[in-house]
Amino acid sequence: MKKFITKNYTAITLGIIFVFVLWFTISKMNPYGKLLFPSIEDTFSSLGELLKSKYFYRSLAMTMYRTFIGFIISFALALVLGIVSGTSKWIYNFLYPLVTILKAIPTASLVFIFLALSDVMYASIYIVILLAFPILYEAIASGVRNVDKEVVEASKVDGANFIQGLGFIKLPLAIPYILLGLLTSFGLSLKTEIMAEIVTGNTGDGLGCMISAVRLAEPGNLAPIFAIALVTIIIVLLISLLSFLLKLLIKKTSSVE
Amino acid sequence: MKKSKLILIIATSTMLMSCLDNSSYTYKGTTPLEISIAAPKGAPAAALYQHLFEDKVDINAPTNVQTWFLTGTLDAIIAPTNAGVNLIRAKQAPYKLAATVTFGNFFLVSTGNDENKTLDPDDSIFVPMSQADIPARLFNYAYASYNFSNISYGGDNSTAARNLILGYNELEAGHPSLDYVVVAQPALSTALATNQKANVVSSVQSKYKEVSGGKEIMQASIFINNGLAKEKADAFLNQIEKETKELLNHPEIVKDVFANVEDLQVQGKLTADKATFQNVIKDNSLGLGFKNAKANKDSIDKFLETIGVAPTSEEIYY
Repeated sequence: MKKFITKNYTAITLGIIFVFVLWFTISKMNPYGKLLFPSIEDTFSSLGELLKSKYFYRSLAMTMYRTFIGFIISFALALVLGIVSGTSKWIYNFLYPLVTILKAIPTASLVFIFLALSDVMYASIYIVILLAFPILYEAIASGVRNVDKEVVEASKVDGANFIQGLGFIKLPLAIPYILLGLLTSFGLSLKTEIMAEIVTGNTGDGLGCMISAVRLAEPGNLAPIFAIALVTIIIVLLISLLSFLLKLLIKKTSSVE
Repeated sequence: MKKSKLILIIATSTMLMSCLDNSSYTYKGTTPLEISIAAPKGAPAAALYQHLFEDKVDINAPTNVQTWFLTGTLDAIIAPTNAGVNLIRAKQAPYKLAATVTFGNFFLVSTGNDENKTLDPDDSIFVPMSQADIPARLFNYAYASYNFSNISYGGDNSTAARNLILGYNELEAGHPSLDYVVVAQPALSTALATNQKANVVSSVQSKYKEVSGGKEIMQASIFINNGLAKEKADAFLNQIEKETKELLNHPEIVKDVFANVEDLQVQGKLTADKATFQNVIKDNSLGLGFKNAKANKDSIDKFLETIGVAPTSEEIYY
């Protein structure tokens, strides 16, 4: 019994049940129903309506598309600069002020800056790039820097050059750090993309556009907003699951070797 | 003989009735706009109801208005009249004021909390946005004689609609009770459907007209780019005027216009679903219309004066 309770998946399952119990309790305590805090039934009912809508799928695709574009550009930049910074302390220190500034800038102010500089359709992509880049960069730089130096020295003794050392030793060993950075920054990128769509007031396709539209057209009903938020949570959970499976695979592959 | 006369009378009456029956109006579709235009979502975008999803039409957040004027690339813009006039004067935006298309859509609504059900100076009232913004300026001008002393401001129209439903100010700590709320259509329709105790006490635009000596709120207008060919500009203005009249005379065409569009998409552009939009057009509580700007300069200047903007000169008019 004790072993059953202490297993990780049991804790996660109980945690999920706890979230639903909390949601149920708060919604029942609230006298205003879906005006203030929609119930589980209202939210899933609203989700059901959304799933029948072609516009919902187009909006989901558009939000994911913009998030991925921003994320991939961020990752590419972070990979190059992260590897360089992870290898050279001087470059890391040189980039430190810039990366700190990027981490500190309030995201909402970035929205208005990019809205003035760019089309409302693309402003959110730039914001995702600037938000995800520092996180990915730090993850990659830390991953490369924290590789066991003895392993690196051993590879040099075996005749590996810099590129071989990087490609076959440092990067593979840095993968757990990189994966963690990918997961953290992807969830944040998705949230930021949706927020940027709301703040820019984009009325086209996008989950944030839908939230904005529903908020103005149905001010007394938060259920569709909860439903859209639920969709985002499910996406991030799926990405987390994918990352977890990937980590297991890498662990398995390395132990076999 | 008597029976045949009766049949003739019935047949003739039926024919006459069907001629008078407006619901037999057939929507014939529209021609896509040839010019590029942008408008803020909500009531101003309603003027472009037949073109909301065309490539050359950009319906977006009101925060984009300044960018539209200053980049000067659009052939036309629908914008708050004061915003457009200010940008033309102060920033030399290359546009001229051509026509006004919305004439106020604000209403003073009772939450049902006022015990004596009459407007008193100490009634608690909520007005959306800040004290310096248009809803507040219009309200304070139109209702100056009531000497209201307990007005709170904040949020946006969606906040006002929620406050109307809740019966209290959700923005303030302690959630103080509200007696009245100023809310704009179309959000008002949804709020009234949710709070059965709420009822419309008065129309801000009617009160404004009373106080201003018959002038209307010239809220949102069409601005034409100085570089647009006159024939194209005139053709566009004529088309919008015709389509506005068609909508106001036959609100039922909303179903046909948006036959292949989902409610969510319409909500994104007009801040109302199809049914709500049709309802607010039936009584025109959205304040939609079309009036030549130059011919109504007096009304425009009066409106601008009310909201603290200097009167216009002839050269800003199309």
